[in-house]
Amino acid sequence: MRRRRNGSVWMILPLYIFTLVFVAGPLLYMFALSLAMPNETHGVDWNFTLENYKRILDTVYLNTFAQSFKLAVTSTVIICMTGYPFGYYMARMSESRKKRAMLFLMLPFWVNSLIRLYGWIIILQNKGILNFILKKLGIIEKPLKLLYSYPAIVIGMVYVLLPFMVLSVYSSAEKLDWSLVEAARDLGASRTKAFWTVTFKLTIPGLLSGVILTFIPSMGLFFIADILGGNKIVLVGSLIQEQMTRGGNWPFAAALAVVLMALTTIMIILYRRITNVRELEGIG
Amino acid sequence: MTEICLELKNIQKSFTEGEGVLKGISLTIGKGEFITLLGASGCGKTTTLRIIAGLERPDAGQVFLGGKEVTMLEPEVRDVNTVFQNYALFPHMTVAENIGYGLKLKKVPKNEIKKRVTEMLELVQLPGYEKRRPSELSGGQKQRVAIARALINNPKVLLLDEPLGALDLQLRRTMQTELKRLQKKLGITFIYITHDQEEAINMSDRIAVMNQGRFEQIGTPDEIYNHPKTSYVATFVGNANILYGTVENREGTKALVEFGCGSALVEMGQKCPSPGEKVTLAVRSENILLDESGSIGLEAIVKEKSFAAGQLRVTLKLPGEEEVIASRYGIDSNVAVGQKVCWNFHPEAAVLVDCKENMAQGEAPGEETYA
Repeated sequence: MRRRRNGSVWMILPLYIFTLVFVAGPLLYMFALSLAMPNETHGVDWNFTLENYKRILDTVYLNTFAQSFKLAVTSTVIICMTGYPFGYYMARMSESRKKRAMLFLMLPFWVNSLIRLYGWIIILQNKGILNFILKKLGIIEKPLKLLYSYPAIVIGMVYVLLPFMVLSVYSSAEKLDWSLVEAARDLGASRTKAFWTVTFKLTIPGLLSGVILTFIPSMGLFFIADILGGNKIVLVGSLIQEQMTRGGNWPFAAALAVVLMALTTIMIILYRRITNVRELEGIG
Repeated sequence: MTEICLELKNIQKSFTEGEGVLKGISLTIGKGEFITLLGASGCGKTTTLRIIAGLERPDAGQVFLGGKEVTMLEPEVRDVNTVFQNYALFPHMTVAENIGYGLKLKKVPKNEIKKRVTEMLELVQLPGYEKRRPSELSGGQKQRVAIARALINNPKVLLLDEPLGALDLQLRRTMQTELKRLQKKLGITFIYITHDQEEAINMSDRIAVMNQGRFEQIGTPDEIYNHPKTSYVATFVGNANILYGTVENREGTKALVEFGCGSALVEMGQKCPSPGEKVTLAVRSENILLDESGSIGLEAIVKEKSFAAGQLRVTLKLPGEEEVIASRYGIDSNVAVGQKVCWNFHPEAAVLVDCKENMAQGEAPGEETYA
């Protein structure tokens, strides 16, 4: 018995080492960094200070956080509303169609997301494809200013993160026992009622993990706002990146990152509380 | 039969082109009747049930419930409830929420629902289980909850799709008795699906034996067991031996039939065939009489001897490669494998099956389209 336990420790030891070196290490280093003082020339003075955190309380930076949060919530809500039906219908398709849909869903991953975002510039710009089509159809007279706007960033976010929601909902809808829906219909539920009382309730875990998979990145993805937002809207992600590179203030960047991480963690905990994960236990 | 409760008229259904799952079945069920659809898996019994429930639409034919046509109606508006094979209890609800689901949809007041749920739990002998979750229940308990959830809606017909299939033998027997008790008490029409002939005979008022999308025979357990009309019913329900022979001679209602290994006298009743006619006879294994000395009767060689469930089974090989099984309670036979024996049966033990006038009932109009 003892031997076996020792053996299993050795088996997972590489995993511990990997986690320590590549996850815990950098995180601790970043936390330490956030409590240090910046040096005049791109370096760090290892003197303890809380200055970096105090600086975040400045309205400019608080606004940046608010802005990022608003964008993340907007994107996540839109992703939920589009990704859920997508994943749900995919789960109800025939086997061959499922495979095809999965292929189309994965296809964009073969191209770097930066390049795909540049594609959106071509679509959204003033003389772009979208404006061209809208004009030809007579819906608009003057080209719409789509690029370098808040909606453009939202489009970019939704575009990049949607597949994660679709896959997450799909995997939980796929496992759903459809005879439960039939049982609900048999007991007097209309299609809609059966969906909300059975299907939706049982696929909430999928939706939940989809929300986590999309909300966290959307708080930090800086390049989307840079490319499609034209630097007009500053998000926490962009701010961290800028402080890290051009600003040369590593400790402040680290403090921003720690706060961002803490906020997302709190969000997830709150979200799980609200949706009452306990109630959904025992669903496989 | 009293008042008609449910009527199926020439129902046809196929899932793949040209392959009929149901080839035109018709059935009339009376109010308060316990009817069993009996058949091997894939014979179309579950499809029949799903069509009655409204979970499947027939390609042709009509379903009448309480005199009204419901063929194309959605399942939620039909006065029919189902107990599913895998129970299909909602895992995210408690036992009480599961049972009260139908009433909640009907906007019955909460207090009333609570009262009715408690009553139902008492009826299925699970008092105090309101707060449990389906994952905390045993198979038998899940079954009871599924039954309570269906019965609380007071349906005109309760459909049960192999409800006891997943339970062990002991529990099956208890549940059989209990289901029968419930049905008698409530007076609701039960349509029960099973592939277990013993279960069908124990519980049903009538049995409809299904084979390849058709009814082979519909009748009381006694009719099905003692007077099978087709060789399929005889073998599936009664584990009977099927013997093929030719009528040699006729004396009143009795006929002397030649089997290729000897002749035997058979009581044919009113429909006695004339000499020269080919006949198919069903004789249940317990009615095969062995003569170990091997002097009187039909000839055979003992091929196999086995002992199971208190029964000795002797497999006899006939000269024409056919096999006949004789079974006997208790070990009182000294026959040895390879021994030459003689066998026989009482003239009354053989039942004439597969004759033309008998087959007519199994066939239904519209059959040509699938022929």
